[in-house]
Amino acid sequence: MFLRILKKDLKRKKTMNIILLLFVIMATTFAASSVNNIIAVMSGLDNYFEKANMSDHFIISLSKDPDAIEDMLSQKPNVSDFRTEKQLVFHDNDLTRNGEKFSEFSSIGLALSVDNAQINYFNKDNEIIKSVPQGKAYLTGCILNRTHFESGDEIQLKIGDTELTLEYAGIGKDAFLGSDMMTNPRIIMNNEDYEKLAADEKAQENNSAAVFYINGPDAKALESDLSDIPDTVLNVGISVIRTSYIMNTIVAGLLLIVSVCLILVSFVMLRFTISFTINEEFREIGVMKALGLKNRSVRGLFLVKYLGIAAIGAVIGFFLSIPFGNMLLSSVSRKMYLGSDSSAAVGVLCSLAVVLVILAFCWRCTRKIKKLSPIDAVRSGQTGERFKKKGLLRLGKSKLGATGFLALNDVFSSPKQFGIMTVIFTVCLLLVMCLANTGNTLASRKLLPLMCSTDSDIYITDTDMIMEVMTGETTVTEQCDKIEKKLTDNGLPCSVHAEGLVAPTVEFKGNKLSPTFMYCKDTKASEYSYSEGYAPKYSNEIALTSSVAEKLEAGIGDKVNITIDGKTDEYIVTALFQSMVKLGETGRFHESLEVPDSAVSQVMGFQIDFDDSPDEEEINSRISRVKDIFDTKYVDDTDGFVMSCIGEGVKDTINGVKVFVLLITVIIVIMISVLMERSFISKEKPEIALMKAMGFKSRSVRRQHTLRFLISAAIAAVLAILLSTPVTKLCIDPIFGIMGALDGVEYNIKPVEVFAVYPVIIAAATVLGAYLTAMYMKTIKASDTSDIE
Amino acid sequence: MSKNTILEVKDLCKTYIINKRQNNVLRNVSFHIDKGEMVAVMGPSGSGKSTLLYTVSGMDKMTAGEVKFCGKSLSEQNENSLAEMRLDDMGFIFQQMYMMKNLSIIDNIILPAVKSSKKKESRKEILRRGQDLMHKLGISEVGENDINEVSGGQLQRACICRSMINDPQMIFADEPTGALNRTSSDEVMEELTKLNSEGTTIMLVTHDSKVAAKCSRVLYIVDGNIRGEYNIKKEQPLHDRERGLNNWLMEMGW
Repeated sequence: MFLRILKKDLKRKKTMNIILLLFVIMATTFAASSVNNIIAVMSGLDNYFEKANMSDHFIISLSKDPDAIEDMLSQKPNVSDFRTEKQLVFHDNDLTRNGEKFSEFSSIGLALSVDNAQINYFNKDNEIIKSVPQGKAYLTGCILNRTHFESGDEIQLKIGDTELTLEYAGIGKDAFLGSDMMTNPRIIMNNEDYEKLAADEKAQENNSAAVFYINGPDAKALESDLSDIPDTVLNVGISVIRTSYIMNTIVAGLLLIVSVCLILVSFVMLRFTISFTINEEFREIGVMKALGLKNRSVRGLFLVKYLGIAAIGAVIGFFLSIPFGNMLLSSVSRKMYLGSDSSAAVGVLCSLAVVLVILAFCWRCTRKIKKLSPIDAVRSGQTGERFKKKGLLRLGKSKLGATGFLALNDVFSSPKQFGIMTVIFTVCLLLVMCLANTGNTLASRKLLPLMCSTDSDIYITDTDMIMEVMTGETTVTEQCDKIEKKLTDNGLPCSVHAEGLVAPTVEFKGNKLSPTFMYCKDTKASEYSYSEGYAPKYSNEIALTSSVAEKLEAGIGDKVNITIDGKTDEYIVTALFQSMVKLGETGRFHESLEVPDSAVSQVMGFQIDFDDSPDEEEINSRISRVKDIFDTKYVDDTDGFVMSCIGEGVKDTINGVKVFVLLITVIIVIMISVLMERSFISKEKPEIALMKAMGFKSRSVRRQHTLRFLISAAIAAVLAILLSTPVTKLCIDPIFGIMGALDGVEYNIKPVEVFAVYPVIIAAATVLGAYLTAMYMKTIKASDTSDIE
Repeated sequence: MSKNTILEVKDLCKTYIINKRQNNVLRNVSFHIDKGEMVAVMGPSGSGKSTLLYTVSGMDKMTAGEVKFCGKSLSEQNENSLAEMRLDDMGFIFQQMYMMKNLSIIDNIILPAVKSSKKKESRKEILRRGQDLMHKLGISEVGENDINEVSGGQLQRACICRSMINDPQMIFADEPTGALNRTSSDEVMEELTKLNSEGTTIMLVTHDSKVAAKCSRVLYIVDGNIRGEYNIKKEQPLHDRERGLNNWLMEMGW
């Protein structure tokens, strides 16, 4: 008899059972994939670096005699071991496709042989690249930004006088230089191809380089020890490399937040559905008890039913979680190895956990069975909430039409039901809004102070022009004068200056560092922002970022020794500031300090201030003119300049995640609307039949149901708008803090996008899901009032 | 059809197909109801009484035949115009006293009037009419109550008020006293009789001869066919009317 009751129940309540099954599948899919992603993200970098066999310290040297560097390293007391990777340097001009330069990068690129790889590089399937067929190559790092490659595409690489045509073999994941913030791409090729290039005489003279992977027991001592290695382009500890992945880590962290939200959403919906379906079955419970079934048997019936549905749903959900999780991860793991070795086991455990949670929900909801007498249960089954007051609004006193009133009244009369939906919609909206605020801020002038630059009308960041300074072909001053003259000759009188980057050695109390110092003789140190102390006033005064000061164990008022081009002098620290340049490892000299041009290793860009102080519209039109004058597309306003400093890859990644999360939330919102509306129709069948019997048209009833969802979405939109700024600050300030902005940032909030577009999208998705589902009401006839028990 | 005929039914058939089996619930049913009549439909369980009620009121589609309500053929109306007809010209009273759970008693009563565009009235005027109806049926004190705070009799009287709010041409009642005790049944029938005496046409389905005895005519339906019609002499005392009806029903095979 027991089984017969169960079979009949499953058949009769097909709709609600299917809805419950779908929620179980959703919960399992989200839980299993999200937990796997959380594990992958949290252990992400450590796992990646371990798999890549990374070292404690890294040096890129352009020395023509790498053996001498090796000798130096052997004699360092804090170096326990090291590995050398010989490489060849190339510039963005040397890499072409169909005769045209296709990628821009301001630093050097490095070509290496796979046979000489000293760390593990991974392909897109996270397999170690152990060999590369001749004539093919893997590309890593920023070379892949804004370019689209497909297998089989060919590139030409010219080093010295030798040019090779290489076929694109795929993306290479480079743990050392592959993050979005590193600007040194690499090409991994077959040894024979590499030897061809290395044999070129010109290449041997001008393009030799080596990467040293160095290990030592004490990171700080190692950094100090290695600060005097000559001819270095990069000389950093693993902590800096780790920090360079901050953008990828941010994105992975955002994925973590999305995953946690998905788990919460699915379990909330599950709890609601189980509680809802059990409440609807009160009358059946009463009848069973009246017939003589014991509490245990009645409860057991429900547990068996829900166990069956949960088991089926969990199995399906487990298999769906695999591609879903991979899809989520792939949005952030394009350039890094992110994955978990035990994903299957975790998936199985999560599926089991979902089943147990469902049984726990069911057990809790059926607790009432014990306390109810058969008559209580039957009576409760009649109305479901016999003695609770309902109906906050009054139709007689309202100015709303019947449909609008009924919709609003329903929402206020069932606050729990619609409240859950509203909370879910709010969370979904807040997720998207926070991402949008982060992406918009990363590409806005509000971050300019953190780029250690003053506000100018236009910025030129053309890599050819910057390279001319870096290679010593011209000096900063000469380049600025040249640009100024050319613009003036073209009817755009202006003044041009550039922030130079100097890489001295700083020493204090035995602590040695090689941070990057900002220097510009055409601006005043007082024009920049400082978080503590006062701006340097004299040539022997400097400002440091908090992280540099901390590493040196120096503070305001301390005197540090700085060596520039072999000359050591004492400088007083007068201020601390925030910077995102070189991941916060920065300082600033006073403008009156005489820094030789040879010491300026790089410039941020060339800043143009027009004499006539044009407005924004005029500036935009002049940007096009300047592009034509210098035949370059790398001319920006302040927003564009900030973006170029952060890195185009970063913006693309954040925007990619934003679109992806928006898509996921729209799908979730539609799913929830469809499933909730279907449950409502099932529950409210008597009322729908009654309204039709009274003379309400089908479309009126459909409108009423859809309006309820629109009201929930509207309330969610208002809540999300109110909370978006504080929640963004709460969640994202710590992330900017890691990048160097310790005191937080001023967010660039685009009101139309954040306060109008996204709420409208979510509301539209809700309404669409609800309206299409409400069409099902066609099957309910006015005469169904006679069939309802 | 005379000018007084409000409902005319000719050769009405209704067939349900369940599990590929045809079930002829109504077979060639023909009758008419004039304005001001109160007609009861009686018959054994499963004879098609409720189906007849829902089909002639347009709530369910007929399979064949013709039904004219106030001169309009129901088969020529689309779903929307049938809905309008039900809203403006018909009133319904169900056995189970269905009400909207989230509305108060008075709001349930005035809901059809708020929805209808039959009369151009302000919300206040609609509310006043609802309150007048409630006063007339002796339930004005429960207007602000929720539906689960009143007795069955009061709820059914509220349903009667709701059915009357748009001044319908005819009221259809499906076992209006079926879920009530004897006292409440008598109260409800008293109200319906009063409404009928004021000119409201009523067609009701019942299995209770005491209820049917208060009507002017009884249709006896068996296996989807009207077997007989019994005219009740209203001038007779109720007791005699009941006895006469019972005798007739026994002859019919009740």
